[in-house]
Amino acid sequence: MSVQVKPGFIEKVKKFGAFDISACFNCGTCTAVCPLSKDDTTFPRRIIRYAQIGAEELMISSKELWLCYYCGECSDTCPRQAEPGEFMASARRYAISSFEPLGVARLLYTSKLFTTVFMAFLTIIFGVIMLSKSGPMIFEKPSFFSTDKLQGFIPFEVIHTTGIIVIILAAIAAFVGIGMMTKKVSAGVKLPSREKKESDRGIFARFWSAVKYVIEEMTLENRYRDCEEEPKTPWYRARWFVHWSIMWGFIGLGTATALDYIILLTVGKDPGQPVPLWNPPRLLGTLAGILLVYGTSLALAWRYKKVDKYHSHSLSSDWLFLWLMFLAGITGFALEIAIYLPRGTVWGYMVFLIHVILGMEIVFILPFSKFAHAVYRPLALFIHAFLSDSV
Amino acid sequence: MNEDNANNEANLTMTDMSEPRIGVYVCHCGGNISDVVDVKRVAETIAKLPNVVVSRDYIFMCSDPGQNLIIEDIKKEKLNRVIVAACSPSLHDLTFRGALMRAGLNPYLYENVNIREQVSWVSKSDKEGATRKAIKLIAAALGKSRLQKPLEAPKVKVSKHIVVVGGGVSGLPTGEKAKDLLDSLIDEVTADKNIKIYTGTEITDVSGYVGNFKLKVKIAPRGVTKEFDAETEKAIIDACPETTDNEFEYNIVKRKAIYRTYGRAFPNKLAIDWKTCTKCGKCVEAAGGEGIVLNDRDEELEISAGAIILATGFDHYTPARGEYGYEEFPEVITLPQLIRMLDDEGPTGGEIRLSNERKVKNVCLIHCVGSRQIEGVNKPGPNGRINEYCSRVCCTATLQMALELRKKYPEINIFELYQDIRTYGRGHEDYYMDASNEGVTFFRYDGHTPPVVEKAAGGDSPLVVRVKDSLTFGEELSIPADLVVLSTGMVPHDIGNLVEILKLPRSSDGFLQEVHPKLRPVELATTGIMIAGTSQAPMDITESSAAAAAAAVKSSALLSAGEISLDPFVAQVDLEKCEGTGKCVEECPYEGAVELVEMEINGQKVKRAKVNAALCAGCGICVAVCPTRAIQVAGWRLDQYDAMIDAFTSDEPLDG
Repeated sequence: MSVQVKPGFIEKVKKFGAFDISACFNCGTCTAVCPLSKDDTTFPRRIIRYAQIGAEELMISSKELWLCYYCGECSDTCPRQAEPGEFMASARRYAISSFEPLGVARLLYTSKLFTTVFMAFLTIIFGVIMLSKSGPMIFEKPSFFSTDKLQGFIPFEVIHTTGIIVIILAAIAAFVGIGMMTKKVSAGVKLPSREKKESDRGIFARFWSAVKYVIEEMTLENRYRDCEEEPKTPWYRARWFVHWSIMWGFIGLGTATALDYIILLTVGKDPGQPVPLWNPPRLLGTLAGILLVYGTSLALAWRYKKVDKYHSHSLSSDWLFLWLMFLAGITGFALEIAIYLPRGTVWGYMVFLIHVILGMEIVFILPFSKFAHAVYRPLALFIHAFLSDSV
Repeated sequence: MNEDNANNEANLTMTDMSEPRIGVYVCHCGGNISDVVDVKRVAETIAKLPNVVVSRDYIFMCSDPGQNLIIEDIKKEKLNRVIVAACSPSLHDLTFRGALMRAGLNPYLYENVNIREQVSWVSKSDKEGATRKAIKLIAAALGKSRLQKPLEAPKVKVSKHIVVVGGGVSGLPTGEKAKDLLDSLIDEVTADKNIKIYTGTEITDVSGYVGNFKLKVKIAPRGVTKEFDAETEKAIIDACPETTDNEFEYNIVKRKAIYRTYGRAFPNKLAIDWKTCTKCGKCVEAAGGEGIVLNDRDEELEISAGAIILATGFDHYTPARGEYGYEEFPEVITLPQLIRMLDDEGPTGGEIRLSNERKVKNVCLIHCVGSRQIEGVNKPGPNGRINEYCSRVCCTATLQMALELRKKYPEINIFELYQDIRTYGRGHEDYYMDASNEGVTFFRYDGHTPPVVEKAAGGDSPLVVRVKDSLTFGEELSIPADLVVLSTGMVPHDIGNLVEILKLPRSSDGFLQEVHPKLRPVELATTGIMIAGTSQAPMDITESSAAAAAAAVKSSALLSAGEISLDPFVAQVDLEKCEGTGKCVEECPYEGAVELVEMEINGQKVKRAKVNAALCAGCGICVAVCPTRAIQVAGWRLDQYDAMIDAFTSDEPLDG
């Protein structure tokens, strides 16, 4: 089976980031200095080569794409200033958009105008929905919503129903993407030869070790930690930790919301009632929120300051991702304050409205935006680990 | 110098040759010899032998003090023979002969014994055996030396003319610079009073020897004796009904049987190609009956020359039909054809034009076509040879053309398939860097799995090039191609029977072979014949120019004195024994070195052998075949061999 050389493919990938791969003369310095490229998984050169010759299938199905964390050492040392690190990031964006059949992801990555219009549109839609059944702002005492049907500023039912619909829509899109990715990545995995298969492990053993590998990678970020070039950076200012806090902040908040809902279903607590700080969902939500705000604010600051290669080439998708998370976190804390105030305030209700809209938006665009890497990266690692039994 | 020679000759006659007085010198070679051979014992043993007046050992005989030792002994001890037991004769024969001359002795009374390469270096583990062998060899040399007579180096007068065969700076890339270079070279050569140019020539015979070559040259007539105005010339060419491939344009266009080669040719005149012309006479009519001669005959010419420089150049490798799709698909062309197409003065006005008029979007350039071939992978050419060598200029030329393509067609995709990029010339690597910057995509193949050019199954491009690409980790790739350019290498130019006429040595690749790549890089084994440029090996313009300059200087140094000395070790005929059987003439491998000539002996006209010292190489074959022992090689006479064998077979001096 020969690979079709398709001239002009680089131009397509170029729309997803600022690099100059045509300058590359395949010296391999990037792969040599990369702290993450090891053994038989070599990159960025391999992936760059795939892009140079237009081997799109090989590029988007490769495991290496997802083993890269853009430490930036490759870009710093590239003798041709081809920006291999930025290329890898762009190739990931390209891959994500090619797993998403509607083309929304592609537009969110490549068009500032579309991003602006799309987000404004979502904000208005969710705003209109939330306010459609809105009750009055009560100033005697804050009353954001109530489980009593259609009571409170924004009735619980409205948030709940919209949320469920948004989650279902996002889930459908995500599952389509996951299906596409599984199909495309599996096709590109080089399976072990027949002889080797005899001594192969059982399917469950392989499945379990693949899951273990992915979870370990996510919790400990072993690979990301190999990235740090400055050993003097304290852990709390390390790039991996900032990434870790954003990721676990996000997951923690999601879990807290889910817990709250379970408690509601089982114990039947009124979600409008304030709970003490030690209440498990609330405690988890607060800690996760602190992580999220800490991570996103540092990441935003670094991107504004362009502290290194990684933070120098920010696309609208990067800004969108960080700002949504940061604002969701900040409004969340503002909301906590508003809840415990003796009186309801206009800004409290407004913050509540904004917070709810942001939450809806984050979930809704999850399969189309930078958020998607949270699904695709672990999935790619899992497929490769499972199929090639290489863990 | 002349005075020196006169003195030496005077001294020669003074040397008393009746009783051999021999000096033997055993060299240590700084341990090279003395670590294995017991040089003191050798010198002492030899000292006891008859006629040995002096026998010494010394650390470096070739050094000035070593040579002075010999000179002083010759003067003080009246030595008339010298033996130096040291290294190979090719290294220091001239050194020690010079020492003898400076001491007033005939230089050919010197004898070398090689006890380094032939004794110490090959017998390291057996010191006793090595020492005994050295003694034996020197004893044999003594036997020869006792019988040695002074020899006179024959001198021949030389013709101070040099014939250069071929005219052009060989080399492939035809950037503007190369064209201008050729123009200015042609101007310079034509303006020089001392250079006579014959074009359209063929050498039919060469006789003679260094300093006195005679060349028979055939000059083909142009058929056109007059310059016509442009209008008439056009009418004449249009009138000609015969067309043929235009070889200068690498057959991408046709030309008539009466034609003008190309704008920058020398001489830039109308000519008739006799192979294609049917002598129909239509051109004569168009010319108004004047200025065109269809029954013109070849002109014969004889040129005498002291030296010959062969600058006969190279041919482009012509791919076999079907090799990378050549001649099978109209979209497959060679690099020279592309170069002509991209030349603004060329036949297509600088445009790529394929026979099927297709527009070109994807261009695939394949390196090493006809070069670096591998037995079993590549088929041998019409000459039965596999071209294993690298043609050296094609990488640079191909990259240069890729850049030219990019300049003319910014929109096209350019792919280059190479084995190794060998842009070895100064500054040539820039072409690779530039091509890389200009978005040329490179693919690297292994010579064992060369790319394959096929008809495409579908898609926009008619051809597909399949390659196992090591830059893509050994993946097999299919590259779409509208144009495939084969970067053809250099093959030796077919110089016809000149090879036989001049007995030219060729290396296994078919190119002319020099005597030694470093010591005598532009000389052939036949003294007086030099090679320059790509007749010797693939090289670029810079290297060709350097080779040409070297050949020119070597030739003029050879001829500048007006005469040259030859080796005296040539055959000599003893007329008292010669019966004129002619066996020597039959067996002699050097044409003209020995001949039967008529002479008068005792009033009778007889045929006897006569040696031409300038042509004789002293090989001794004649000596072996002569039934009457009438012919001998000076300095290596049969009685000298007898004496050497006697010394080897005797027990002396080892056990005596």
